[in-house]
Amino acid sequence: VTDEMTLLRQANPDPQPVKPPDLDERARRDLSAILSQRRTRTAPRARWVWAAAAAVAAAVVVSVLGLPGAPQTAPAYAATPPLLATQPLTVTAAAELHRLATLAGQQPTAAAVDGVQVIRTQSWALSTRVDGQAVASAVVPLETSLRWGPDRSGSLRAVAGRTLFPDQASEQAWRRAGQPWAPGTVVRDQTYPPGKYAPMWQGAPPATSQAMATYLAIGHPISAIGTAELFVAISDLALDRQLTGPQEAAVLNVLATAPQVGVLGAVRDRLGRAGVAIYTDSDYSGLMTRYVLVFDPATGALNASEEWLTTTAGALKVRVPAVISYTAWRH
Amino acid sequence: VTLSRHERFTRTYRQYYWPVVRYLRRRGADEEEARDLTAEVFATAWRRFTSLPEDPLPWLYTTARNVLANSRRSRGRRWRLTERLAAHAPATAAELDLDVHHDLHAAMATLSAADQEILRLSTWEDLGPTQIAQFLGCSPNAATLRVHRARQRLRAALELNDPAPELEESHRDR
Repeated sequence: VTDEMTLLRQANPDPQPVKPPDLDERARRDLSAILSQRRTRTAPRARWVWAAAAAVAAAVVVSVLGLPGAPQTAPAYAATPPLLATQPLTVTAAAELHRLATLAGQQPTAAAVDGVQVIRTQSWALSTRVDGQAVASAVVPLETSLRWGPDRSGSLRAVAGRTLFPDQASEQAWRRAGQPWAPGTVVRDQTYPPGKYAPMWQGAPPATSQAMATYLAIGHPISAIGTAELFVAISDLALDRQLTGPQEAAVLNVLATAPQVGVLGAVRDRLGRAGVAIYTDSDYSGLMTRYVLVFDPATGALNASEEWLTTTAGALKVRVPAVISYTAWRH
Repeated sequence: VTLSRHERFTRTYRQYYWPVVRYLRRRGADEEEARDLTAEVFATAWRRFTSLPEDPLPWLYTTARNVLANSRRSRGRRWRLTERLAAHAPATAAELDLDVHHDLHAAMATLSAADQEILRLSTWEDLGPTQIAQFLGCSPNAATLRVHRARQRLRAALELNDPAPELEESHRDR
């Protein structure tokens, strides 16, 4: 009789040895580092989850929120930024995106100098952790500055920005928790020696829409997942590279021909700039999520990318509709 | 003899260090990542040592799952790209060897992520229903039922002809 459990046992990629080995050098070193922490909140290495790399399966987000160690004084709901207020626009997405593409194509090419990419963002994500710790009582945006050159050297620095509280109870909970990530706290400061920075796309972005559609699909299964993945790809690209006007135009033209794209309306983004917000809805992540891109109405530049939960929060402790992540680019 | 907290933690660490490393490696972490994340799991365990359950293993696995998810999240997009590139690379001998389990992997892939994890915990980590219940945060009865159903689904996917064994068999705790 073939037993599925026996088959599965045989497929164990790393079976338990009969006699478990004793701790090796590395394990002993880690043990003494842990014990020397005296049960404080600081771990030997701060592992920082890059908020900008948002948009993963809801299952992951759920398990992350369930992380043991969440402060017990936290309010019932996690703090999230307010939704963007929108003014309706009476254009179709395709027409508006083509208009923006035309504008972008006319922009002077002010991209990377000497091939050095400089990307500055303000970002926030519900799932951001520093050393496994979440700050659920406050919205702490991160001001991130990434710089990398043609030799793949670079630097990445992220500093906690201005703290936002949904209410007084949240502010009190944050103070009780010792004001984690107070404004100005450096949450990541990293340099990459030559060859060490790994951009998501190896080659330079093309400037025609057909080539751009192929380029964006590298590492992003847009045809399998749908337009939401195109939104993610466009955000990811902007997190890694400064686009020239023609490249930006190509992106906008790809978006203009994508299915299920709508115009949300005119907005002011998190940095107070006027923008045109377009969106697509997808439940690929497990929870119905609205993916929003905000473009500068005068230049076609991508100013912001956001993700909102629209119908249910699953196991996430947020009130829907809820912003679960945003990135605003400082050009 | 009352052991100090340091001594008790060291004991726990010695006992469960390799199981946690293996748990992570079995879920795709490379050696360096598995070691890093294991340190993170135990750093969390140390901070919360007074409130760890009597059998800490399910808790350690849950924490390992979470730190792995965090790590994947931050690097997921890049990894996906790497995976894509790797898909076009010629298969190595080791990869061909893995192919022995191709049918099983294909069958597992048709199951939900939760079902897959329940089955792996039962076989690879050898957890019993009580421990799986702790991992899932449900009652042991519910865990037993979920293991049973996951097995049925795997059997169906494998197109094994024999009916799934009775519930009692999978109820045996370890």
